[in-house]
Amino acid sequence: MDSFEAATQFSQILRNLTPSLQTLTKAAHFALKNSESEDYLFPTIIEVISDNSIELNTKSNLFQFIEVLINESFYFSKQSKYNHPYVQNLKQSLPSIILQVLPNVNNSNIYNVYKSLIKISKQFKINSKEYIHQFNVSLLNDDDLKNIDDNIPFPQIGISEINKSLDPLLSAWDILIQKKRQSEYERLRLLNHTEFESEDVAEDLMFSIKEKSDKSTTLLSKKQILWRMEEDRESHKRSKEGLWMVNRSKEDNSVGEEEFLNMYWNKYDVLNHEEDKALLDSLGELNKIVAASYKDSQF
Amino acid sequence: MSDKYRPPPSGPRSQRNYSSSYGSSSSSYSKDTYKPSGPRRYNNNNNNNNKNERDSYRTDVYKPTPSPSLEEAAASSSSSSSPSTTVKPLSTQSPIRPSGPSKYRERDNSAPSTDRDIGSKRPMIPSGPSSFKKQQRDYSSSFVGRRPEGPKGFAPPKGPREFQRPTSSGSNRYIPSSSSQSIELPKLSPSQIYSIKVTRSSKIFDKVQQVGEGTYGKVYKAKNNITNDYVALKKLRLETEREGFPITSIREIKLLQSCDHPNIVGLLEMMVENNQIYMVFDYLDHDLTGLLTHPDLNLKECHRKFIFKQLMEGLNYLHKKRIIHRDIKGSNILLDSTGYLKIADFGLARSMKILNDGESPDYTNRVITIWYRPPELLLGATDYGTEIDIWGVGCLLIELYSRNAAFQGYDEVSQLCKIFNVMGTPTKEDWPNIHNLPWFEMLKPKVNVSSKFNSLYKSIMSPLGFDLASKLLALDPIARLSGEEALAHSYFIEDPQPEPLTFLKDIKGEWHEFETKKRRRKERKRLQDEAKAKQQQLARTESTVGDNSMKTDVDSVSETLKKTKTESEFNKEDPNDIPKSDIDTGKSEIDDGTKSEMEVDDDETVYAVKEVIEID
Repeated sequence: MDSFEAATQFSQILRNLTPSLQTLTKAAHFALKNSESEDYLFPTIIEVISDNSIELNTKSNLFQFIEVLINESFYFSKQSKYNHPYVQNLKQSLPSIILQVLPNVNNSNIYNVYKSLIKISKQFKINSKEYIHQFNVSLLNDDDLKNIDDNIPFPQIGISEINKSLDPLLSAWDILIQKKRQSEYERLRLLNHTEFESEDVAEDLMFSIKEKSDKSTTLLSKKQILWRMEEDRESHKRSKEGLWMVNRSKEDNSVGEEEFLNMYWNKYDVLNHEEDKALLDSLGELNKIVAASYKDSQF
Repeated sequence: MSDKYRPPPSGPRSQRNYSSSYGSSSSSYSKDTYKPSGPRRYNNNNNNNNKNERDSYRTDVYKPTPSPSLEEAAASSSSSSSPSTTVKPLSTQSPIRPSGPSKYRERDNSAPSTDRDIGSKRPMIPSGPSSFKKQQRDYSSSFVGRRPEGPKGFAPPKGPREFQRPTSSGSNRYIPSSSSQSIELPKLSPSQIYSIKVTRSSKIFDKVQQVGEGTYGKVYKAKNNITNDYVALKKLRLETEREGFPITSIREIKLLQSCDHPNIVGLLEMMVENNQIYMVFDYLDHDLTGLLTHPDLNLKECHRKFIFKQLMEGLNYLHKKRIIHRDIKGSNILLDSTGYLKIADFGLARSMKILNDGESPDYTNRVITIWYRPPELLLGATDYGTEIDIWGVGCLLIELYSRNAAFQGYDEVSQLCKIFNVMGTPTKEDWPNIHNLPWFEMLKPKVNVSSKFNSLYKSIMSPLGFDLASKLLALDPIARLSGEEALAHSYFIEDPQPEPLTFLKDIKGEWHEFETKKRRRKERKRLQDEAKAKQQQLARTESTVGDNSMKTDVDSVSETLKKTKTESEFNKEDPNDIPKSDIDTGKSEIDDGTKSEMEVDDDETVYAVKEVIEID
């Protein structure tokens, strides 16, 4: 397959992505198998994700695809044949990709991007703890609160926000946190500056739902929202299917140090006094039941 | 070493009085096999003089002894306790067969079917799934194949295959014919009998009628022919299971076994019959949804309190045991004819994980029938806890007063919209952390709506009831009352005190959601037929008159017709049913969407139904 052909085919694959792990992995494998055409395939990814006719749901899938591709690329690169294809390119473009997946008017994809970004950070061995914490607390500072009082809209987050001197992955996190802050800010502004309706409000007025006639791709229709919930549940379920997996070498099938640490040692804490008592109590209860189940008295 | 031969410990359930459903407690001869042995028998029947026999019965050797005869034993044992009116005299009783090795059964095949044997202690307990399979196979090969009329009420036989094999030459005829009336007894005394397999010529349970249906299978009302008690038989649907016994059912059974509370439905036993597996439950005449549709039902504050207090106590018991029910709704709340209440259907329940700091429990959010689903689940929460059940009982508290479900959405979006329209869109104070939920950005209210909860419900509820409901229905799960806090609420303390629903005895029939729906369907069909007839009539008139105004009339009728039609289509399946298979197992699942679609109609038809009932 020549590079052009591969790029065309790849573009088709990306436009029809579903969030099932199988499709995502298949697409990633296609990219990796044709990694000699990276110079053509990588721009295809950027092109598709920047395409305004692509639905928001698909953009979310694309971001999940990027996560899978990075993951698979690391995995493939255990073979000497591969040298981390796509990884550097994708990392460099992460901030701008995020801006595409989270367009200014709609942050629907924010949670999925957040989840993917955690996993990508793990691959690059970047500590994302601080960002995860920030994502889950209130981010508004005094200036924000004052601006909310004055009913000033949150400034647009654009390319200019990207800090070029920063590692692109960290910069991607920064953008994500900004987006979160924007969302929180706007919600508070709405609460503080809009009248409360006392009548029943229809669904499409209550939530940002695209009407049938609306051709824009920045909003989700109700059907798309429900579809997306279903897909999220699906991938959530899938994410748990691999929980039991451990990394063991082929030769030695015993529990390694790392496995022991992660799967066992770190999972359990010393019981405190209360828990200890609860455990002993339930064991004692069990013993009593066992003893009582004998027909003949014991001991 | 002797411990190895001991029966398994049985949970608190074994402390229940099984004798009520089996006739007198002394009639252990005729007892069915499935029954965890436990403290009760240990306490009641332990005879010290049997102790020295322990070694002799442990040898797996069946040693018939000439005396005492079975009749004597029966007589002596029944004289020692209350006589049974329901159990037939043993001499006339149909075949009692020992459970045991399949080889034994083959032998038995040639013997007359009046074989009888009793009093064998099972020396070892099989455990684990492999033995379950064996038992199942054992069972089906011996009963389903050979005896199509099959004895009812059998659980898989327990005990190893070697058990009871006749070894000595003298015991070749260890199966006495019933006509001879001379019964050979093993060396065991009745008190030492852990389980016997008996064959009955008639079924133990006779199905009376179907009372429920869901993805899990069907529920029947059935009568126990020995005790004349009614039970609910839940037939597990195994046809669709490709991977053996469904893990979700195992979870359900496990949870039910661990529960022992007056307000939690009791799993009496499990039954295997004709390759079908049944769960046998207490039977109660009504469920809350069904009962509330009763036109003559007139609940007073004390009655509502009686119902709701039991509901809270049952739920609090579960929550204290770290169990989340995850399917609280009216049709899962069962009531007997005096208003005693039991929480049923643990098909979606799970026990909570034990987590370290910073860990998320990560459960599935596809739980709870949509009308009773709290806002955090609608917004995608996966790190929830027992609060999700509290929302459901809050909805039910309102329903006790209004008789209609408070939030009747037909999919996640409309459900959340309905909740926000009644409770108001959450303010920063109401629910500070709402923005951390996965789908919040997708379903972020873009307008502010004020709460109509007061104006809608304050007038129809008692002041304290209203106060409790508003605290149970806090949008923020953290702000919601816990089960214990709810029970401490002054609603349960102030007068009027809870009172049983004694008048329910006068109510005719049984009121389950299932039957209510049947009535609704019937009514819908009637309306549909009527509309059809009217349309035909109109069409006829139109063809003769050809009037324009008439035409619009026809249009409106056909409109109604269409509507009724879709409604009846919707109702083909159980709308309040929830997928059972997606319980954090990562296994197959059922589409939630179809389910929610079907819920559309109930909203509009409730009133129609009430009328119908009155007509009926």
